[in-house]
This record gives sequence, C-alpha cells and structure tokens, in this order.
Amino acid sequence: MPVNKHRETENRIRELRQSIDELEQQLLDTRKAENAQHETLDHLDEYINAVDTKVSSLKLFWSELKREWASL
Amino acid sequence: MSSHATSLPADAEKPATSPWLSWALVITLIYLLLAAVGAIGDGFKMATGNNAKELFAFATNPFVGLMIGLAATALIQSSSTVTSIIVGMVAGGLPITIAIPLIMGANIGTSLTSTIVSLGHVRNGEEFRRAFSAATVHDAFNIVAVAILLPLELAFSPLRHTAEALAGFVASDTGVDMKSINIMKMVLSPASDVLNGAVSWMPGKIWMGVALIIIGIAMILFVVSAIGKVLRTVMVGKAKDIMHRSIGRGPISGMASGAAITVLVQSSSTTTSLIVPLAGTGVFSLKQVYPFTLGTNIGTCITALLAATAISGPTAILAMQIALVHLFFNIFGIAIIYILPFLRGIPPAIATKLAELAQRNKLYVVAYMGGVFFALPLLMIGITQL
Repeated sequence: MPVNKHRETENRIRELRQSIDELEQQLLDTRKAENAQHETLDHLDEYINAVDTKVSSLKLFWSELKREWASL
Repeated sequence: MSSHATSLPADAEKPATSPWLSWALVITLIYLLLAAVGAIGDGFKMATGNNAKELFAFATNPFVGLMIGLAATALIQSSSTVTSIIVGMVAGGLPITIAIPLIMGANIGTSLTSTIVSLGHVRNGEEFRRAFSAATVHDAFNIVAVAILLPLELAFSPLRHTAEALAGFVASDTGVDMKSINIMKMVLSPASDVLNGAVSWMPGKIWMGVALIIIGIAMILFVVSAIGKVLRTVMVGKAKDIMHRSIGRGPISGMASGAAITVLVQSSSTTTSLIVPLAGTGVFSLKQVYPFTLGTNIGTCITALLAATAISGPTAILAMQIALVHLFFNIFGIAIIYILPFLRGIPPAIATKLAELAQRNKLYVVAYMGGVFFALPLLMIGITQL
C-alpha cells in the first residue's frame, strides 16, 4: 500500500507539472500575441486613414472580380 | 505587418499645421455643424409648415423608414451626416415615430464603409477572410439589433419612452438648459441670420425653406468629412494610447476604447475601417475586434447629441429625444445581444460564414453588399409604394 500511495503521489506531481507547463506556455503565447499587438499599434498612423481607401479598395476588388471571371 | 504596403494605399498624414490651428478649425467646424442642423430644422419648418407628417406619409411604414435610412447612409457613407439631418428634420416637425426607423437604418448603413475598406485585402486570401469578417461583424450586429429592437419598439416603444423621459432633463423647450439662458441660441444666431439672409431673396417661404435644407445638408456633408480629416490627424496619438491601454483587458475595455476613439475622431466609419487592416494582419482576432466595433456604435451617437444642442424653441426636446433614441438603441442592442450568451455568438458566426463564402467566390461579396445595402432597401420601398 505505501508503494502504491507513493506512485500515486508521483503521478499527481507529474500531472501538476504538466498543467503548470501548459499554463506557462499559454501565458507565453498570450504575452507574445499582446506584444505583437502593441507593435502593430505603434504603426497606427499608417492605418488611421484606412477609411480613405474606399475607392482604391473598390477598384482593386473590381479588377480581381473581372480577373476571376475571365479565368473561368 | 506584411499588409502595410499592399492593402493600404493611403499614406499616413502627418500634421501639417500647428495643434492650435487644428483645434481652432475643429471648433469652427463644430459651429458650422450646429448652424447647419439649425438651418435644416428652420428650413423644414418653413417648407412644410405643420404638414411634415403628411409629407413623410410614405415613410410611416417603419420598414420603409428603415430602408430609407439604410440606403441613404450607404450612399452618403456617413451615419453622422444622416443622423444630424434627421435631428434637424425632427426639430422641423418630422414625427419621432417616423424618425426612429430612419435612425436604425442609418446604423446599418454606416457599416458598409468598413466592408468596402476590407475589399482592399482581396488579393491575399487569408488576410481578406480575416478583414472581411472583422468588417461584416459590425453589419451582422447592427442587423440583428434592428431585428430585435424594431419589433420591440413597434410593440412597446421602449426607446421612445426612455429617450422621452431623459430628454426633458437634458434639454428644455428653450434649448439646452443652462441657468435659463439659452446660450446655444445666442451663439448660433449670427450664423442663423447669415443663412436666413442668404435665402431671403427667394420667392415664398416654401422655397426659402427648401434652400435652407439644401444648404444645411451640404454644410453637414462638408463639415463631417472635414472634421473627420482634421481629428484623425490630431487624435491619432491619443487613439494609439487608448488602444495600447486596452490590450489584454477584456471585452469591456475593448468596447470602451472603441467608443472613446470614435468620440475623438467623430466618426464610427473611421474607427471601424481602422480596425479592418489590423484584423487583416491576424494580430487582432475577431473575438477582440467584435467588442471594439460595438463601442464605435456608442461613440458615434455623440454627433447626433451635439447636433441636438443646436435646436432651440419648442422642438428642442424632440431633437434631443431622437438623438437619445440613437444612443439608447445602441446601448440596448449591446445589452441584449452581447450580454445574453446565446445571442452573443450570432454576429461573429454570421461574419465568419460570410467571410468564408467571400474567400471562396467574390460574387458572394457582390451579392451581399448589393443585396443588403441597395437592392433589398429599394425593393422593399418599391413594394410598399405599389
């Protein structure tokens, strides 16, 4: 019985370590994603006038649509 | 960061003028906006006399009103312009019950802008899918909000009653109340005198009124566009700070930042279009973009509220009431759709599906945009007029 108890404890420790590793990885991924977001926001002045790209966006879409049709 | 050059042909503008000059320009433009709303109100009163209700009899069907608001905003590409015009028209005698569906339609129509902007990513399949879903989540939310709140409004008038209860506190029948002195009327009377003088040569009150309405609409179109451009340049740093601070703080913070940036730049189209390329890069997920977009719906209400302060006299409370209806419509929409878990997932699910279809075949994009924003409204208006 003490041997079984010992093994159970070891297994439990392994499971807990695995959970901690997974949580640490999740935290690392979140931090990486947040850092990427901060980096992107540093360039916000390049995006702030996105609303003015309506005409060029429509033109681009129209040319893509025509190209797609022509290839059919 | 791969998408900078390919998807955003518009270069970032650097402030060419001093901040003081920019702020002086902003104040002047706000003054012109208020004068324009006042002109529309006065013009509407002159042109229609007491017959505004009869004149808008064709829009008494709420679905027609909804479609008019939707199509008008989709064409003008600015809900701030349309809601400001509606405020002016209510001040001029347009019944609130007709104006409410117009306001709801304007809310849907405004989301077309960011959807058009997302088309700029069409050459990169995955980027386009992400950008298109970030744009259409706004459309989907606004459509679902109308689908829930318009029938409720027709049955129980919760928006009208709530706005009515609050409008009396915010405005008085002498204009926005400040120790019984009608400051707004005093401030705006020089502009009002100039505009009235400019149309005084016209034959008859009706033509004078029509001319005032046209001048007012032209002024609002110019002012809203100009103010957006100036504020974007002045406020980009502040917007950056707000967005940096909201990262990692959850959906409420996302909503608050969307609302705050929209108030700063006075345009929800600017804010929703801004988030589209950010989502396109894949750095911001749809889950993060969604609450930010909802915040822009709240922030954009500031323009109509500001416009309502321009109205004085017996219709000041009504003008404030329709501006508050706009605000409560968006607050109730978020309260119902975003807070109830079984409704929260509907707009992103619609947007995700639409984006998948759009990525597969561009004709779905044409069918969706042409159908929802133009064909369906025109068809419904046509059918009801038969």
